[in-house]
Order: sequence, then C-alpha cells, then structure tokens
Amino acid sequence: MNLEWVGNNIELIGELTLAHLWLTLLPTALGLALSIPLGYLAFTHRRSYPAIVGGSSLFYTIPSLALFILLPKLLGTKVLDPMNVVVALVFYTVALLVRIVADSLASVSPDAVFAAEGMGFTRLQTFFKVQLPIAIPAILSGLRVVVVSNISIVTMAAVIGITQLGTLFTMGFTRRMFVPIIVGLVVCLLLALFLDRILVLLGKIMTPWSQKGAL
Amino acid sequence: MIEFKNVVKTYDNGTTAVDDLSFVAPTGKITVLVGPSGCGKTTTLRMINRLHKQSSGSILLGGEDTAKLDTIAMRRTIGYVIQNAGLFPHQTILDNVCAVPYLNKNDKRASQERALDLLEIVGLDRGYASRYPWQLSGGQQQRVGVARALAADPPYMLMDEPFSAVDPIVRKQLQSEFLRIQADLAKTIVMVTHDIDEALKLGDQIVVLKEGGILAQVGTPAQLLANPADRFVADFLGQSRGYHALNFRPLRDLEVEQTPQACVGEQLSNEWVVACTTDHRPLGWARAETGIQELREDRIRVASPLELGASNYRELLDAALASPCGQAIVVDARGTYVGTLSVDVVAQHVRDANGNEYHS
Amino acid sequence: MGIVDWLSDPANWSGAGSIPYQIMIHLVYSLVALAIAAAIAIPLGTYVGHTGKGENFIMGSANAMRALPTLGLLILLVLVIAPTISSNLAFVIPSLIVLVLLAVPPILSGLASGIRAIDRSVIDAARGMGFSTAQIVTRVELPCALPLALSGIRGATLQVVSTATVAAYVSLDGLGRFIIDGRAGNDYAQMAGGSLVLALLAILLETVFAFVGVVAISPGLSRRLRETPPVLGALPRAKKLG
Repeated sequence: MNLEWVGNNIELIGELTLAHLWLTLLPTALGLALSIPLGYLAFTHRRSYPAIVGGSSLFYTIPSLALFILLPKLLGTKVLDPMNVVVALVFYTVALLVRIVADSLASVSPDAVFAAEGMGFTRLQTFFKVQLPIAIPAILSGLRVVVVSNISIVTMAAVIGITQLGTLFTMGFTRRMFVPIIVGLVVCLLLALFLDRILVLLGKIMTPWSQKGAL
Repeated sequence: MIEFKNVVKTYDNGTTAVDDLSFVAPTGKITVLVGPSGCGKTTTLRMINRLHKQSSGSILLGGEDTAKLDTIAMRRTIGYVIQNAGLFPHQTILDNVCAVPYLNKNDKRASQERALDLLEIVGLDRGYASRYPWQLSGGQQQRVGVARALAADPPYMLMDEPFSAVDPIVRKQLQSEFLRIQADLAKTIVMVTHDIDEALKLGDQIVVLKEGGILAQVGTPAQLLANPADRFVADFLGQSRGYHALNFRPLRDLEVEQTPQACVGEQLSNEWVVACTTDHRPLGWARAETGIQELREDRIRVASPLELGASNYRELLDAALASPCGQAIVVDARGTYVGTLSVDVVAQHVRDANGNEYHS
Repeated sequence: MGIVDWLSDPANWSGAGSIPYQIMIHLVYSLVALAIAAAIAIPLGTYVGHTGKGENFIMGSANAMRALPTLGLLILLVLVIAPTISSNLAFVIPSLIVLVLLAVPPILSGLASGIRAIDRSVIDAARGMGFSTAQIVTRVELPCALPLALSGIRGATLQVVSTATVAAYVSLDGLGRFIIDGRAGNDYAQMAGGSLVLALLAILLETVFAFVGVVAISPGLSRRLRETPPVLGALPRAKKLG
C-alpha cells in the first residue's frame, strides 16, 4: 500500500472532508430546526400526526441517489449543485426526527406540564422550559442516528459527481487504487465517531439532571 | 398435597434465598407464603414448578419428587397465576384461556366451550372472549389470568402476588370471588403475598418466612394471631394483630340483652330502642331528641345487624363501635330481632379468652 | 428529450436493458441479498432475543454499520475480489456482500429488540404453564416480536433496493444503469426517468409492507402500537392545557 499518496494529497483530503462536513451538518441543522415545530404540531394536533409523520417518512423510502437526481427538476437547480444533496438530506433528517420529536414530547409526564401550567407558565414557556428540555435526551439520540447515517448518504452523491469524501471512492475505482478508498472509509468513520461524541457531550451539558446519562 | 423437605436454594454468588425449608401444603387448601421482601417467598413458589431449581432437598407433588417428573408435563398440571397476569398480548382472551388445552392438543371446540364457562366463573361476560388483553382493565386481565390457570383443570395452583397489581377495591372483590371459586373447586393452592391482611383473609394455612428464606412459623391464621412464634412474626402481623384475632373467634353461647323494640308510629322516650319493621326485622336505632316523640323513618340511625352463630367478635366490636349506644343488634338466621350485645361483651371475652390458648 | 418522453418511449419498455428488464434484475439482486440476510439474521436474532446474550454488541454494531459508506465498501470489495474471478461474478459477489451486510443489522436488531421488548411476565407465564422452549419461541416470542421484526425487514428492504442502484456503478445491471449511463452520456431525461422508476418501486414496496403488516400482525399487538395507551391517555388533557 502506498502511503505516499496520502502525503501528496493531504490538501485534497482536507478539502473533501470540509465539503463533506458542510454537506452533512447544514442539512442536519436545517432538518432539526424544521422538525421541532413540525413535531410539536403533530404532538399538539393529534389529527395531523399521521399526515406529518407519515408524509415525511415517505421521503425516507425514496433512494438517495434518485432524490439527488429528481430534485433539480423540482428546485430548478443544476444536477451538480450541492444544494440538491442538502435539500435531500433535510428531507431525510425531517423524516426521522419529526416522529421522534412528536413521540418524545408526548412521553413527557403530563404532571410536569400541569405543574408548569398551574404555576402560570405560558404555552411557549411551558414548551421551552419544560417539555423541550425533558424531551432532549430522546431527540438527541435520534439526532445521533441522523448525523451518522447522513455522513454515509452524502458519499452516494459522488456517483453523480458532487465533490466530497465519496469522491475518493470513485477516484480509487477509476484509477484502481486502494489507498484513496481506504482513506475515504476511515475519514468517514472518524467523522461519524467525532460528531457522535460531540452530540453525546452536548447532551450531557444540556441535561445536567440526567446523572446516569440517558444517552 | 405439596411437600417441601429440607429445601435449600443458594445462588451462584453465595447468597441463600431459601434455607432448609420444610412444610406441607395440604390438599384442597390455600397455603399462603408471606414475609418481607427478600425472604425468598417467590423463589419458594417458583421452585414448585421448577422455574427455579432447588440446590438441595426435595419437593413432592402428590407424593412424587418433582425433580423426577417431566418438567413440562408437570407444569401443565399446575395452574400458574402471576402478578400482572402475563396474558399473551397477541391472542384473544379466549385463546389465552385455552393456552394449555391447546398445548395438550385437547379438542378445540370443547376447550373453547369450557373457556367460556370459566370466564363466567371468574366473573367476566362471555363477550370478552373475542377481545384482546389491552382492551381489558388490570382487574379484568387478572380474572382472565385465573381462568387461564384453571383451564386445564389442574389439581394444583401457584399464585404469585395475584391481586397486588390492582387497586384496593378491586383487590377486595377479586379476593372474595376467589374464595367463592375455591370453595367449589377445592384446588391445592400455594400463594405468595407480601400483604399480611391478604394472607389472613385467604389462607387456610400461612407460612411466614424471614429474610434469608428461614421459616419463621407455619399455622392457621388464628394460631398465628394467638400465638406468634417470635417477635418477628408478631411484628410482621402488625399493630392490628389483636383486632384481626377477633376475626377467628365466633360468637357463641352469649346472653343477649333484651333492649326494647319499636315500630314506626310508636312513641319514643330518651332511651335508645331498636327500630324494627312490624315483622321484627331491625332497621337501626332511635330515641327522642326532646321529650316524647313519634318514631318516624327519618329519625332512625341505620345499623346492620349481626347474625348470631354466623358472626365473629371483630364484627361485634365493629357493630358496637358504630352504634350510637355501644350496642350491636343481633338477629337469628331468619333475620328476626333477638336482642343486643354490648361492647363490654368483647372486653369481657378478651379478658377471659386471652388467658387461654386459642385454636379454632 | 424530457422525462415523460423518455418514460413513454416504447424502445425503453422491451428487450434487454429496458425498464422492465432492469426492474427485474434490480428485484432479483435485492431478493437474493434479502434472502441470504434473513437466513443469517432470523436465527441469530431469535437467539439473541431469547437469551439476551450479545444484545449490546448486536445493537452497537447495527449502529456502527449505519456510518459505513456502502459506496466505498462496494468499490473496495470489487477491487479486492475482481482480480481473482474472471466472470461477471467479480462484480455480483461484492455487490451481494455489501447488500447482505446492509440488510443483516436491521433485521437482526428489529427481531432481537422485538423479542426483548416482550413483557417478561408474559414469557414467565408461558414457561410456568408448561410451554417448552421451542413453543415459547414459536408461539409467543416470534408472533409478539412481529411488528418490530417486520419493520426491521422493511428497513432492510428499502436499504437494499436503494443501494442496489450502486451496483450499476461497478458495471452491473439494475435500475442504477439508467442513472450511471445517463450521467455518462449527459442524458438527464434517462437519469431522472430511471430515478423516478426507482422511487416508485421503493414506494410500492413500502406499500406492500404496510399491507403485510396489517394482515400479519395480530390486532392484539397492532392496536397497542397504533395508539399507545399512556400517550393517548395523556394527550387530550395536555392539549387543553398546553
């Protein structure tokens, strides 16, 4: 195996990693930001639950490659525009998280909610100070799944030529070289591990009351 | 008959759950295992159907060593009821009740017919047969659990905290109905409970275990209440031990006081009289608030009479305490007024009786 | 040429390389991979669920598998295996390995966690009543685990159908062919048409699974899943107040 390649291409690997990180984190953050109000809606208006949760999970059934290719038609973007990947991953993120947000809000003990209401919290205060904090561990563990699988899904976009760590795989295939492929796999796994640990840490900071660590 | 002979259960980590336990659960009777948590009562129960295996000693089921029987076949001759019923969530109530008959490959039609009868016996409408467990309340699920245990008509039943997961009112109901069913079926039952009141109410025989699975005492409820073997048993029986003991002392050979009776429309003085119907059935107590008054229905302080020969001293004490004049009204078997008994009778009885040994 | 033109072109509907042909190839790869995965995951999942042994390891590795990029793994396997085999199998075998690797964890963890999730008192009652171990597994554990097991199989199927597309990248047939060839020939209509067929196939399979779920899962279980009682009980009050 040729480790020289790594040294010569360290800049490329860095660029691809940054691009990959960006393509993973941006849609994850946007998806989370959308999932919380949508999940809250599905929780408070029980009749909208099947439509919101079922509808968004339908996107999850569409294979990523197909979505990357079909989105330009709907968005008016070019096939090679990374925006397609971002939008597709926002859909996947929402598909997974909406259900988790709605269900974890529903599992917050009504006693805590009644207590807050009884003390005179407004609806918004109850949500941000009671319901959401209590639901955080469940939402965060859903987010961990999302981040890790998004990292893997992004690589697929290399097939249609969008540049990120997956490009190392296609490069290795066309040049019949192992090293780029292995570097790509290792960096992806490390990235997943790194982001996963950060989320765990974040969870510990945000939920100091859960001593055993629900995560 | 289920017989424990020097049974010991030690776990791999060295703790002893049951220590040299010997007792007999007589045929057709309810034997209740009772004790604080950690006394090994559930382990003891589960050793009977070999869900746990004893480390040494033997358990005889109808005279046969359970270790030598085919475990699966033996279990099917023992009804098993547990705390949360443990119904199969994916099966209808009917199929749940038929579980063991199906395993035994009994005739399906006949098994289902019997299951429907059993549902009625345990106090459930036949309409529940096609429902699923999640559609039933906890108490109803527990009734199904009992029906399921009875389905193969086993001679033995093991019940692990069968009534403790339901609320107190339902629990009392289930206990009474269970006693009614047992009076007909006369199964040999071993039951576990942590609730001493339940043990006293249901047990023909009580086995009290201490922590570490040591036998503290075996006896009838009356024997335990009258003569606890040691401080542990006495404490476990609790502060109402004396009161409970009165339960097991029937009212016999007592002189009743002839408190006057009165019917509606008759004149009252300031003395308490027993208000009766015209055919001498007691309604309650009555007296004039001021001077002389007529007995009207709304002046009667309602009271439930005791039946002489079918009641005990606890009921007498309770009735006397609840009456406005410290007297319990007594009737005969047909409900006709006989007389009254004062709360003093209980006190006198206790003075006379507690000096002697009590076995009933 | 637009997507509609491409989809309605009769030339794309018959013969080798046509839409029906590629759908069939796609389904054959997927089914073979799923069958192998099921043959591995169902006995193993039953064992793990029944005994509780290795539960953490299974769940942990199922999670870790999610992070592994399938495209990279496939290409790596092709480069390793291709030189040793001369036929088309050089590409088929790596593809199947990757698909099986993808499909085993969801089936395994769905089945194992489905069995683990059964109330212990249910299994205790069955054992106490005289069910043998085999009867406990077949009559209680497997039927009760069916909802979660089925959703594991559904997840695996979607993953496999989705990823089988990548097989085209290493020169195999299947619906991915249209995407790869369209990309190579700068033919967006073909790429998008193939993607649309693929998406519809995935949605169709999802519908089939929803239907199978309704038919196969006992109402005693599915009612409980559809409207989880504690959640439902809490909701109307929470809604009024919150």
